[in-house]
Amino acid sequence: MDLTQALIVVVGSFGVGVLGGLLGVGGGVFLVPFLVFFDVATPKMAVAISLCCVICTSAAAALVTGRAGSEGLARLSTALKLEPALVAGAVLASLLGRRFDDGALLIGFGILILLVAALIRLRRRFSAVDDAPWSPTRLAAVMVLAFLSGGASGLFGVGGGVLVVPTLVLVGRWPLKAAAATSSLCLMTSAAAGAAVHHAHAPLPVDVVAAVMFGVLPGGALGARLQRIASEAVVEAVFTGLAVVVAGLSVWRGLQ
Amino acid sequence: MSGAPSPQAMDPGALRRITTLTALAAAFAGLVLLGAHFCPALATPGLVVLFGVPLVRNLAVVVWARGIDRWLGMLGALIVTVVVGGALWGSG
Repeated sequence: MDLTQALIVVVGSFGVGVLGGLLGVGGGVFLVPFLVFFDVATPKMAVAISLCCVICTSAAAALVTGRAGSEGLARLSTALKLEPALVAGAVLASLLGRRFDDGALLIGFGILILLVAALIRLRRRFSAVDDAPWSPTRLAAVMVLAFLSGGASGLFGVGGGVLVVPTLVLVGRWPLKAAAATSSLCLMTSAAAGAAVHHAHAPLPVDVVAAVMFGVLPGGALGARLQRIASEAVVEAVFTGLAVVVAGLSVWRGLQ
Repeated sequence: MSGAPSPQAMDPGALRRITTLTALAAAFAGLVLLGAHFCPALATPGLVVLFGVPLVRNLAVVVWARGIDRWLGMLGALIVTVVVGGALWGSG
């Protein structure tokens, strides 16, 4: 990677980080298309790079939530319980993903983004909070969905938070802040497992990983600050619009 | 079986120490990966440190958490060691 390309990656990753932080969806949803559309990496490699980035953004987000008040406090016990399901999903999907061709992966990614956009629109409608201990049925449902979220993470390189948070809010009936804080604690393990499996198949480009990390992390911090002053309705509208565009481009690129 | 303990179940001080150590490990991984740009020999150690961030977190849980959390931390550390260690060993 030459200096010009490195600058493009850092600046682009910074923009991706701002968007991810502003919209509260992490960087992976926009990072993978950015790396593919700018020919920085193949779709499979972009997924692996994105997972490396998720490890760091998850650790940084956990640092913030570790200092939050009780409302936003991460529930470490539950994060630790979800981890085996997330890791199993991520490892299986990472192994499975190597068998898909790049086009199918991009089409699947486009469909996932639309699903995420729908979930983000739905989560406010089903935001009834029930802080009672989970029944075995609800716990089983959350574990199955955590397994699928880990799978989506390993297959498409998204943080999994875009699916874990709606799972904890819609099925677990948790407050949104506690769900987001907890997901940031448990995602780093599934991301590390997925990235390691990808690395075992094809060595990761360390220079690209470093450039992406140094763009996404400050961008994510800025985006999170912007989120505090932005209207939630505007943020949702922006995300829905971007999701449709990125999904369309991903499917179009996949069909090529 | 209870799946959702109250937010106060974890000692906030312990959680703060755990998340701070985890973030420091991630920052260290970033620095080593940046160093790999100038010294390619650092590439593999950088990735090992990066993939080891969850292991650091789980070991911190084992040290600072109490009760069932400590056992879950041990299980998590074992899972990370087996999966990540196996993948890195497989990659040669």
